[in-house]
Amino acid sequence: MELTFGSAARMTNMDPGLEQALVERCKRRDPEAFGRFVDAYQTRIYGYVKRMLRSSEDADDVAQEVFIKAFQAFDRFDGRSSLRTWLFRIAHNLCIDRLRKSDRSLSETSLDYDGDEGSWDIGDDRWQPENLVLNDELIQHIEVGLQTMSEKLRTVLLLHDREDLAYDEIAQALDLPLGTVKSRLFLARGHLQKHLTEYLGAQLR
Amino acid sequence: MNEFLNVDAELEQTEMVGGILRALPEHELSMGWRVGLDQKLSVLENPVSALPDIEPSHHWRAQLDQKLAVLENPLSALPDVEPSQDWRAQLNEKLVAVDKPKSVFARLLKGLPEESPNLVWRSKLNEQIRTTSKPRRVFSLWRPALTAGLAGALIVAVTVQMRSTPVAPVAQNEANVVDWMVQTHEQTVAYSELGLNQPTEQTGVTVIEEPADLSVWGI
Repeated sequence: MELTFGSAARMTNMDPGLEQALVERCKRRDPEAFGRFVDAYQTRIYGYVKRMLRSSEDADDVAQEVFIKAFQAFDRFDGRSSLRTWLFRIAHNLCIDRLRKSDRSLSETSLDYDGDEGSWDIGDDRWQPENLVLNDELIQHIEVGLQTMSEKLRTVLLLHDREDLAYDEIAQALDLPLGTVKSRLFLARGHLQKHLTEYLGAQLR
Repeated sequence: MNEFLNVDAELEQTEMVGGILRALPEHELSMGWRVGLDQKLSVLENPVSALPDIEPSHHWRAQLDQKLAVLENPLSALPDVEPSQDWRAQLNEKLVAVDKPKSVFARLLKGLPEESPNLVWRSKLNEQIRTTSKPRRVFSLWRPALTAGLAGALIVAVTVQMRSTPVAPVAQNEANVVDWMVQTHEQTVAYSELGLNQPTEQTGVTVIEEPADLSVWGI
């Protein structure tokens, strides 16, 4: 069995008809189709898993495990959710399992946003998209901001603001009520903004 | 006297006429006639019911519906108030402000570098998927082969069993054995009576030799 390794690294929005055809072929364990499926999603899944797990070795293992699980369970994919929702659900569950297995306990305390209400000021000029320059230093601070929030907040923020999943898709993927998804997203943004405000404030002083 | 005779004659004539009339066939009344009769009787009983129905106009019905709706929800009767242009502009500003965090954070997070797996990772994944798919493929071939093998073995076993247990010959062979045993016993008794240990041709007794191959008797 040879999986093809296409040059298209990241297909963010696959055509629904094409995706449906790909799903049907993957269900029949067509190796070429599964290779294309991996091509389409490997970057997104790998990036998500890597940001969820911190350890590169764990991320490598888990990202591979995601696709192996998908390969094994493809015939049970019933299409009730979208393919990406299904895949991110597998990825999320495997990440949580890995975090539980490793000696790091899942932090619960940081779910509560303890930031100053005043810092949640979207009118601040520094938060205007055109004023934010994504240099290496800022990227580093964003990565640190992500790593310092709880897994529960991080996963919602990544799925919504990076992977463009809708609220209901996230609710399906994480098996959470819609309201919980929204509140966690709010808290996650608050955490990241607080973290970045300190950096941006220091820059401007 | 003549008058009485005349009367009697007239009565006779009348009875004849009555008899003729009674002999005439009866006319069946039609259903339409009966319905018409019933209608006329009902009108006589209740003259108001004969008045025709008057359908209310659509306008009247619409007014009635409006009044019922007002009774149900009095606020619905209030006239619509069109928002001013200022109000709409303020709303738009607020909507943009609400959406701003998403655009900011989405921009920040999407600006993060992509974490692309390397070729080593991909080749390892390919290898793992290959090994994952192999056992299933082997099993998928092995299972029908095993089923066919078991079925074949069962058929062979049944066939052998049926061939090795003939019903009629057994009964015949059993009879042969019994005959042989009886004859042997009789010979032994005869030898003992003659004082002989071994059956010989001198005794004149026919010796029944045990066949070398007992399978002839089914043993």
